[in-house]
Amino acid sequence: MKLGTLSRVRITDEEAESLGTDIDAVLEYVSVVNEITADEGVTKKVGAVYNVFREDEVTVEPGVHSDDLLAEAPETKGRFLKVKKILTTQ
Amino acid sequence: MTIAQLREKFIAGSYTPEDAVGDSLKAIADKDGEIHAFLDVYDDALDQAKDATKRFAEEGDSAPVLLGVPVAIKNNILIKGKRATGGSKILENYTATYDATIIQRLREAGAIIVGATNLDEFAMGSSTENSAFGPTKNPVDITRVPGGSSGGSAAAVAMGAVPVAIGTDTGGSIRQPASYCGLVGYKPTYGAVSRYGLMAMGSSFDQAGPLTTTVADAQLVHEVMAGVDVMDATTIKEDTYPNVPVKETYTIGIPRDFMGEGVDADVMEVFESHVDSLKKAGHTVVDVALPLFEKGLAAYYVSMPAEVSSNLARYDGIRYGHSAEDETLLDVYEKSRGEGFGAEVKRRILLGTYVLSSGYYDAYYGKAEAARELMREELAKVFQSVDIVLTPSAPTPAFTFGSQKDLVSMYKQDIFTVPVNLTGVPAISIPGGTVQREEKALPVGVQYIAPHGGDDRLFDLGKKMYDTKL
Repeated sequence: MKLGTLSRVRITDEEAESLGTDIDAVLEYVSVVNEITADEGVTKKVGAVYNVFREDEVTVEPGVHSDDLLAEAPETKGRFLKVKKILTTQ
Repeated sequence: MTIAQLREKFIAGSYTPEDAVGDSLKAIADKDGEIHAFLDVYDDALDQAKDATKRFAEEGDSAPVLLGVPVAIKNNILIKGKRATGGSKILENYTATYDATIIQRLREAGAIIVGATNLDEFAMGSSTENSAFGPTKNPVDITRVPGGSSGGSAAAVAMGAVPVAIGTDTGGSIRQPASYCGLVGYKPTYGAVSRYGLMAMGSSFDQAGPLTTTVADAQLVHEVMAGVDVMDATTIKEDTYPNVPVKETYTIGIPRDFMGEGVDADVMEVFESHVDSLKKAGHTVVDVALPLFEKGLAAYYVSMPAEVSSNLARYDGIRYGHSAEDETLLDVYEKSRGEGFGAEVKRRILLGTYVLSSGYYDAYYGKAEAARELMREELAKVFQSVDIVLTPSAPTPAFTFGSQKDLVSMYKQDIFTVPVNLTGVPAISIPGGTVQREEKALPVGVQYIAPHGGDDRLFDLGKKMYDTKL
């Protein structure tokens, strides 16, 4: 199922069938969003709340969280996360 | 017992934090085998209770406002060193590496966290039936769901284990379970409470709030958690929105057109009787038109899955959580996520990926975001003539397990709560009365909605209409 690949979720054939039916039903239901704005050209406005930036500064000592974070990693090598190869020979 | 009652006793010394936490743990041990509100219970709570008891002896009524109060936390909120599952298999063995801002603030105020509560996987659902760790039962009637996604938090309070539990609300996940379990449930103005340390579902919707037995308790706990946080740039300041004053009496608007089909007749009766008591209390009740609100649910089921698909991309089996063995990096991603996520989460990720894909982006996501803007304008206009908008909290009382087979009809449980998240305004669900189902009296809630920043107005009317009548 292509959507599964785009979403990076492995979908079994069985799942593909029921998920397909469900998603079609929801898509049909949500198509009324087209009715809301069909005759009005709405543009998103900047509201009372907008993105706030701060200075790019170091707020913690480098490495203080590393042990905690690495402890949660499925696979590590030294102080690094270990991942599988990205390219195959085929 | 309410938080206010607990505190009075703590100060007098007639009942101590040790007693309270002990009773809380005992209630969990006695009842939770059946209810399954909790995913984890924390043994260290008793040590903290001992310290709190000592502090009360020394500090008396100058002790922090929540000192010694047992609290339960929805398990999509991070507590350093504790398991944070999000109700998902993919995080079954994940330990949080830091505290959410609201956890820090609750702790500073003296609260004692006794356990983590069950939820629909990653807060996606209206019943807790989507939890990877099994459903929670409604303490009012164990054949029925407690609502969701904060169903474990609602059940924890309703079964008497804690006076307050924290939930999160993306489309009604605090207010709908509050309605089903006969509690007060409160969703703050978007940005009032920091989302740092909450597992993100729909970042432009998510807010954390309390489930309690009184409005005063909800206000107290909210005020502890609220406020600007440097770790969440979307938190709002005191003056972000114009002042929404508290008044003697209010003008209350009812969007009647929006309550036609799909709402149970006896739920409407409870609603009407609440309208009558508002009138008797001197408030003015008028009809208002919110034609877009009926279609809000459709916009929600575009924007929300879009945000879900983006937010849940982080669960990839590399840095933390479940990781499947496979050949290439892409295989590991796909297999870990395929094995780790449940059906509803997969549905929403796929749906979100679809509405964000290049060919469909304008037709779905673009339209839905434009619809949100129009809904905000429509609601702002209504708030020029009324102070509060009133609706039922949910169209039905708690339903029985497995009875909502049709996906869209399950989604429609959130018809009244979703527009609130789409527009970012605050809302509170308070118990409105009960309806009979198979000889059981089931609670149903009513929902007050206020303009942005009008949180205090909701607490004010809620206390007048609910707390004073207890």
